[in-house]
Amino acid sequence: MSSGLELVDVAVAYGSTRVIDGVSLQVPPGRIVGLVGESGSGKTTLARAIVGSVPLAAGSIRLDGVELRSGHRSREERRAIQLVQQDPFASLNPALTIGFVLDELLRVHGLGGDRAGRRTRSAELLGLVGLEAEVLDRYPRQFSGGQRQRIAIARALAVEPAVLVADEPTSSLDVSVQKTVLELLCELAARMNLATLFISHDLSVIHAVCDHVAVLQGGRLVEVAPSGRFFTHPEHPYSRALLEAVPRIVKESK
Amino acid sequence: MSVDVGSLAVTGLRISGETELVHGVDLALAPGEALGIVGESGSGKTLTLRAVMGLLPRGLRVSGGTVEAGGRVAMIFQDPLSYLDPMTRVGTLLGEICRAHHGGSVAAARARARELFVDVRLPDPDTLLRRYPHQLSGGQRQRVLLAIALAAQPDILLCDEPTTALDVTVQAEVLALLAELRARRGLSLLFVSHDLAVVASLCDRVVVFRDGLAVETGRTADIVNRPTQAYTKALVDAVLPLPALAEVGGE
Repeated sequence: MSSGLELVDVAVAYGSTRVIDGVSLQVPPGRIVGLVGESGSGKTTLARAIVGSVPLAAGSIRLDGVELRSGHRSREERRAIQLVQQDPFASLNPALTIGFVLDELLRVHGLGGDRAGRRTRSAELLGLVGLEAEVLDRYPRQFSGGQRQRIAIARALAVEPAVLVADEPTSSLDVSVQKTVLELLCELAARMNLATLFISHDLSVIHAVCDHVAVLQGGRLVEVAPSGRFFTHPEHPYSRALLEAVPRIVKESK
Repeated sequence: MSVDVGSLAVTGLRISGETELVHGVDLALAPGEALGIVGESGSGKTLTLRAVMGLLPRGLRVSGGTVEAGGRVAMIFQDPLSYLDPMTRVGTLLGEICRAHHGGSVAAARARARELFVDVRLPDPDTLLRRYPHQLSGGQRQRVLLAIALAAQPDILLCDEPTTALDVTVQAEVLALLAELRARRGLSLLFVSHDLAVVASLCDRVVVFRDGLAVETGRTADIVNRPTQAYTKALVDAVLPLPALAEVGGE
């Protein structure tokens, strides 16, 4: 029985300062857990610790009950947890076509079979995120921001991960595009049974996609609650302060 | 024809580079009013604001229409750090700006700078005046930029996404400060944002921009509840809803 991603008492230190401390959190397969916090709260540092790019000072990160190494991870361990970042343009090599990027990734990980098989698989991956196969021969600059984020998601899914960490994936997108990318992430979590940790500073985005919400303040979790309760009855004063500060549109009741 | 102090009339504004980017926009800001401009990236909202201020990027020009401002105009921006000198203490910078506007002694300018820091609700002004920009938080920097704008004693304040880079709690404080300055000084606000909820929380009326055109203008409540254009409706629908927060102590 798979239990997804588990953080147990995780701490991360820069020098002697603990910027993340005592963080315990579960992200079950097929579920989306939202991590919200203000700038400097440690959201991105926690994402980096989960994907193994910064070492833990204490605690452990487990995947389906198996502890992941805090320092140098094996290829399999790295494959299992994929990261989607805020700025897809910065994470795509401008000199390489989308097809080349996906092909190389599949080849390195021994997925998709021969050249033709990998091309077919690349087209499938693009289909999964709502893009046509003909974009394989295009370069990152030829896409809109929303399309680039879809490509970044397709690339993350290429290695068939168990966990997706999405760090502010829609923060640089226009609102109309944001909605379609959020819908895509929800659909993928359910369809591929992905344990998704969704990091955002935007509570309305968290509300739209997440089953559970975790609130990070100064490197510590102050509240973890199901979405249904959190948005109407937050327990921690900081959670309430965050929710009260969100500008809302007041619609007249009909 | 002159316009009333604090009012702004933009008529048939066109902005061009190699191609035309803004295609004849009309805006009317009444004295003391807060008018919002919303639109997605590339809709021309920031260019319009910059044209009013005379700050179009190199290569772009006003190719048609008129801008008439009643009184002095000042502007604040999304990223205050790029408008502050990293090597100069913010108090020194603000003092120099006060002297440039109003002359007087260095000491008088210092005192004026301190008053402005109090006006924008910066805590402990005597300490913060001595700080360099990198020593301030994002919200503090935006307040410093606001103090610089106020040093010109403007009648109209142009705001270009001033809270977009701020945390939500800090954003709420800066929006409250802008509303307060508007009430206290009778400042007219022209406020640009991609976020309809932010604009709606501050502005009486909203103009919706798309592809260099103002596609709809109306009272905020009407725009939100009874949009007439399909694009406006799509923009309203794209605002993600949040359930109402229960009162503290409620079940």
